[in-house]
Amino acid sequence: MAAFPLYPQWSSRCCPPPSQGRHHPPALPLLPSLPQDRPHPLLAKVEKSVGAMLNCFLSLGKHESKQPVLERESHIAYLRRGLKHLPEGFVSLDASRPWLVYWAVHALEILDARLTDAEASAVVDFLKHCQNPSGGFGGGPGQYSHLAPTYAAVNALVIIGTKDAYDAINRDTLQDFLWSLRTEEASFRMHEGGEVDIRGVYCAVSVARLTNVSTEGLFANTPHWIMRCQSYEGGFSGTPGMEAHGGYTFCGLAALTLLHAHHLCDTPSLLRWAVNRQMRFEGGFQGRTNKLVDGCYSFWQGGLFPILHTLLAQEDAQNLSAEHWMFSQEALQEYLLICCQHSRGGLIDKPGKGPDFYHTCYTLSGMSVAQHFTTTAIHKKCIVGHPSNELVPVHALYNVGVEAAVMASQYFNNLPVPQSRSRKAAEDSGCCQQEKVQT
Amino acid sequence: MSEPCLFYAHCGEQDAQVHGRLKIKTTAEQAAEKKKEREEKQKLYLAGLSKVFEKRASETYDEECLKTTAQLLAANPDATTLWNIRREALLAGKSENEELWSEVLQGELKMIVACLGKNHKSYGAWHHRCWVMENFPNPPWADEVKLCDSYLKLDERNFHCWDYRRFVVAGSKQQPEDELKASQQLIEHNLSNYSAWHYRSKLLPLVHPPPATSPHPVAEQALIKELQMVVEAVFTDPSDQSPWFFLRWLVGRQEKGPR
Repeated sequence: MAAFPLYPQWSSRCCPPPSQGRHHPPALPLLPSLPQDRPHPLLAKVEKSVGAMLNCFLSLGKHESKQPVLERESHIAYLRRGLKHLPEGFVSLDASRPWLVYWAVHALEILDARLTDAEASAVVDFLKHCQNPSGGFGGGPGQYSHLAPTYAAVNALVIIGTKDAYDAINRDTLQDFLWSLRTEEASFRMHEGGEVDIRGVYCAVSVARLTNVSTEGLFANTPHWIMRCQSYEGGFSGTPGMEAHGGYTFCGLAALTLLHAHHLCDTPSLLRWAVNRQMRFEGGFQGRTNKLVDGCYSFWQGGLFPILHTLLAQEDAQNLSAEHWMFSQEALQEYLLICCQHSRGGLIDKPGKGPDFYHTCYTLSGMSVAQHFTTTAIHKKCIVGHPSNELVPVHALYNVGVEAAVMASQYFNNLPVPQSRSRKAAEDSGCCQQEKVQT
Repeated sequence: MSEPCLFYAHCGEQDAQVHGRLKIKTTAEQAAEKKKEREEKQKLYLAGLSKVFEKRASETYDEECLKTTAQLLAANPDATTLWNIRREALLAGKSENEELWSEVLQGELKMIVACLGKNHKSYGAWHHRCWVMENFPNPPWADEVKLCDSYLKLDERNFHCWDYRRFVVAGSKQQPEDELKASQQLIEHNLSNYSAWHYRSKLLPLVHPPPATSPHPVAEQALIKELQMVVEAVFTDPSDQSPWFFLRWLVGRQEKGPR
């Protein structure tokens, strides 16, 4: 591989990729079965392709002070097209159509490209068709309710933010639906008869808090179940005992925080795990130890930092930065701008991959987190590249725009909490222990 | 009620990725042919779906229902609703005869493999496999361990498979010692396989439990052997994170919170 050029001042890279500098130690006698010279072929391949893109970008920009540009119009066109028509491959997401809607609507929101009234109306109408009489939303009209499309539908409606959109959510049956999925262990199934994992908890807590349908007892002991998922590594796994994973870690931390139970979290351990997930060469994040970089983890991992900052500030604000999150905001943006924009519109996992709405949504969400350092008193921007790259700030706990989250909270918190019939039945049958959560 | 056609995904070939594939020049004729093919597939898929919903509504859980859900799930293993309906159909037709029921469940295991071929990370498919195993009068656990081995060969970090492996080990007579050997083989094959190191951290306390007074997670002899393995690994590749994170667990530097 060619030697790396000296990077201009704005680039945060100062070291060559790890795969370049491998040394060859002498053979050790202890366990001769371990291979001595072990390249990591997949990692080397990714580093090579990322390195090539960086080099290409830098050599093109040598004669002008070229800054990376976010191709807003291209991505907006890609998203708008997708809301109207999806190509054949998307049959695999037929059970996730509210997701497709949320990914597209949120990405447009971050790009500050609003839907027309007609488009918004059509989205609301479609999502209404996905809502079931028994509560919650399914993957499409006629499909059984499932926590994941429920989360996506509620978020999409919150982003649209009209009264029609808010009122599309049947809060009474939603509350029933959430209760029906609660297990004896205080975790949540993804759907009736479905699997239990930490996504269920996050989806349930998120929609309950946003729409103000949470009741005492619905999440009793749930924080303790979440804590069983924090591994020795510091991150959270999908179920107790498995290895820590970015998506699940976000779910765990966000849910704990929304439940005011974040004091249970081993925050220093989580912080150590999270910072180690940013790839020192690529600049993007990996999902788990020793896996490859992926643009979507820009949010799942990157989004941990605003939350961690807020939690740590409650204990020890003096030792925290008043300007930066505890990851390299610059390196992440470089990775996304230079390596993750697809020429035909949309953003991607890593070079060589095709665009999709999921990656477009989460790369942009992560980029927004990297651009905006915000506390209650401060807002410091860190925009890599052209100033027009600036994105709309997102609410790290829900991953909708901050404005959308605030407006929705105001609307729903003024509505009375539904009095669920099933909750009463559950209490009568004594199937859940009530516990006061410390605030 | 207006048809939400704006948002309907059309059926057809499953590969959504265009970037990076070899582009074959298609003539207008070939393009038209492909379009017709896709429209046919879409028709079949939609017809299949409405048939299944019809049967469910009338509780006609017959052979055709099973056959159709199998076809649809093989095309889209993430269709949660179809898995639910399939389970309803299987239970509705459950034979009193244990042998016959076991045969049906064996068929399910094969059917799931077809679905996993489409998406080896499908939540629905793996979850259904757990359900099938839980319904066996005499679950064929040994075969399932082999199945995990083969899927881990495909993707050594597939957490669905790792999770399923733990489920199988818990249900079967597979000994933690054998699992410890398996994890060692995986690490020797690829030092970066963090999932294997992580698995080790769960098995070691079972196979080599520490005395009650020890601050370490494993007994001393085992601890020393594991340390040697870690040292070997970091000398081989100091930049590989896996052994370093495992080491933190091994020397017990993690604060023990509620687990």
